[in-house]
Amino acid sequence: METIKNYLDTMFANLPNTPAVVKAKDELWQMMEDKYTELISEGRTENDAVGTVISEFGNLNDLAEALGLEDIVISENRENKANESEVINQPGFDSESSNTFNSTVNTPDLITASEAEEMLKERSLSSNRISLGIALCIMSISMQILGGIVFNGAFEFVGFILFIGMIAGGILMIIFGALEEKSWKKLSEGNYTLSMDATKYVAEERSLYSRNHNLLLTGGILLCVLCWIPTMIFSEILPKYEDASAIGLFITAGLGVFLIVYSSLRMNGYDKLLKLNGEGTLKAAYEPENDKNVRYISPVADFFMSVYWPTLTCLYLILSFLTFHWEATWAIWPVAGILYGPLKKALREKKQ
Amino acid sequence: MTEISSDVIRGYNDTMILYLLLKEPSYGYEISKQIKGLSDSKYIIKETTLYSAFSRMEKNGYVESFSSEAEDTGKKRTYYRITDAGRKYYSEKCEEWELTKEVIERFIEEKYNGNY
Repeated sequence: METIKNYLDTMFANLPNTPAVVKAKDELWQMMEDKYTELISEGRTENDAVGTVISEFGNLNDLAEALGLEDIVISENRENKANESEVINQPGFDSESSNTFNSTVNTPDLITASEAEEMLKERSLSSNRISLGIALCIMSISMQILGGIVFNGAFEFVGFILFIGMIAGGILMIIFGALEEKSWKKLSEGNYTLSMDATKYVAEERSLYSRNHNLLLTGGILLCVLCWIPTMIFSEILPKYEDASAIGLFITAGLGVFLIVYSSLRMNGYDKLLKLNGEGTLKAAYEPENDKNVRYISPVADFFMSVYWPTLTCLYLILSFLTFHWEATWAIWPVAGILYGPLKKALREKKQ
Repeated sequence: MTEISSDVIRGYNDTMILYLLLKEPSYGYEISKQIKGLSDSKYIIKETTLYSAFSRMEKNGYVESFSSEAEDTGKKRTYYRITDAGRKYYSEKCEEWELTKEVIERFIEEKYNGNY
């Protein structure tokens, strides 16, 4: 039964999401399900029943008129080619028929499920490195402070070396992280879309990850907002070493930034892949309709919204360190939170 | 065994479907099953062919669709019923077939008929 459903999903994946198409798919599914149920109740095996249903399905060329798609060029053939190993039996299109419905013009290349898996793996690795690199850069400042305390006098330069070393390490991490994404490069060079199986795979992985994402993001923001607390406690308990108290601040802030950047980058990977599916096709329905996944009016707006929280974190930290008015700078967060909703609405692409 | 060419039968899918709807409203799989049964499995209509016939005839006003729950399983299905225009179209198609059959038969040689 699942195989039949997949077969039908694949057949319809690249068709536009119009009422006529949805109705046709729904009704064809009713017929296939009825036939399958009857074949099984007649005592046929699962494989036999699935094979019969799929071989008697027909082909999409028959449906062109009913779907109002006579003159739309559809790339279904390629989709089926990519899925040949995953879908049993013949693709629904007659390869001989020279219908326009069958021909392809400037069709996007397909990303298969295993390619998408590879891309997500790379993204997870690169998010890890990049965010660690940024965190190292932030934490490096604490080395300078530590050096000042531990190596008094002539050896104070040791702290400086540690500081520079950590920054250099951080930058290298960022560079190597970015280089990790080999298979993402092709996206900027050509026209790509996900195969049906890849779409399902990515959507599933995304929904599995989204809970972690919310947790990590909240944790990261909390760490950044409250990063002055360890410092405060430290200087309360050990007023003698007040100089050292700032170390905790940079470590906590670095940790917070690590969580925010890591999780945002990973989530962005899922969304970027899902957005490859043309809007308005049945496949695009797999893109979740939550605020992380909205299409914005321009690439600039899209970029702005995706770096909104990380930028804000940096702004908060910079402002706080420059002014040292931690008791006031936290107000950025509620203000930004309130602004986020209207901003999102204003920059959002209107649905036709 | 010779198979029916889909080009030839295409013009008469509507006729078969309307014939089955004359008795009572019905739904996709039921109709395809009846076509298979009445033709002794010599003609099996494809799902896509059947759906496009429904859709075309509905557009032309020969059939109407409605949604109903099956008595046995409670599953929701799209049913089709024939309209008056559909009955008229059906009888026209029957006349057309009589004529077609009469004409084509004149070109079919006796020796090919049956024992060849």
